[in-house]
Amino acid sequence: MNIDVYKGFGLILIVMGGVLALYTYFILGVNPLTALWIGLVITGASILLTPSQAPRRVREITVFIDKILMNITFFLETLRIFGNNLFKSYDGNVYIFISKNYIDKIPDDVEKNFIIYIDGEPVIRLVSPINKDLAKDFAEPCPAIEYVLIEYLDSADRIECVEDDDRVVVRIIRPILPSTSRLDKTIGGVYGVVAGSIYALMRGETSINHIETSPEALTIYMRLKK
Amino acid sequence: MISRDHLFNTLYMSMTTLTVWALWSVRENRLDVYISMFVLEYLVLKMIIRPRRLFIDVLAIGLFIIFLIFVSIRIYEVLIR
Repeated sequence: MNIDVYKGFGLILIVMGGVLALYTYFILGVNPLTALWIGLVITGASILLTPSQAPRRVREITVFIDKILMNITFFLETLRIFGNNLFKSYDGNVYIFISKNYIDKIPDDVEKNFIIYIDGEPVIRLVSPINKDLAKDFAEPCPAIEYVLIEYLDSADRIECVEDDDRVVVRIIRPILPSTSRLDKTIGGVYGVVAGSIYALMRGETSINHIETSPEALTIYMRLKK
Repeated sequence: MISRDHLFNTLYMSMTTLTVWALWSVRENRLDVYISMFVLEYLVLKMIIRPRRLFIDVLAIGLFIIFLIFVSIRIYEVLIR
């Protein structure tokens, strides 16, 4: 956990409140002042558990990233490579493998080429823009996805995640980027890339099964390879 | 605009201070009453503002356990009376 000024303030509140609470309790006994210091300790702990604020990006940059991703997708679809994907992390970087056929497993010693062959079938290997540095402060995937999509890219209102064994559902509430069905089929758009990459970093190999869109939300259905 | 994480922490600090002032002014001296109020305020504010957390909210779990202990002691006291 990185300690910035805000979290440092929380830590000071915990230490100061703890010391004052003990001091007040042993000198004056149970007293409302003791309760006040305990309140300070809880506030300090709450501040310490708050993730740092990311430098805010403007929405135009997010749209710009989305357009680049769309061009890559159109290119892949021209090559008739779309349909199945697998997100896998190697040394803190995430790679997205895309193939016409179902990808069961990617060997660990896979070649570092744009096109690789697995069981004789061509598979495209893309580097995800998400790496472990972006999610280093987090132990759980959902807060990390929220951090990247909301704090960093300012591209949605709120995120909800549900995990059930190897199935994961990530709901993006009020996304700002329009859903393009072609893009969604291949790598899940910006939202899919971020969610898939972060799950690959924290939970292991992940694939996006399908994406549902509605005017209010975009729902990504993923499966973890266990 | 203030983020909801910061809003949560600021409001929570204000609410605990106000709670101490309000309970102190009615001469409440039981520590568990104060702490139970802090726990309820934390959980209600968390439900309304939904601040982000680095991990699962261990603080909320810890506070809820403390609250359950206090409530159990009170129920026990009523039952043995």
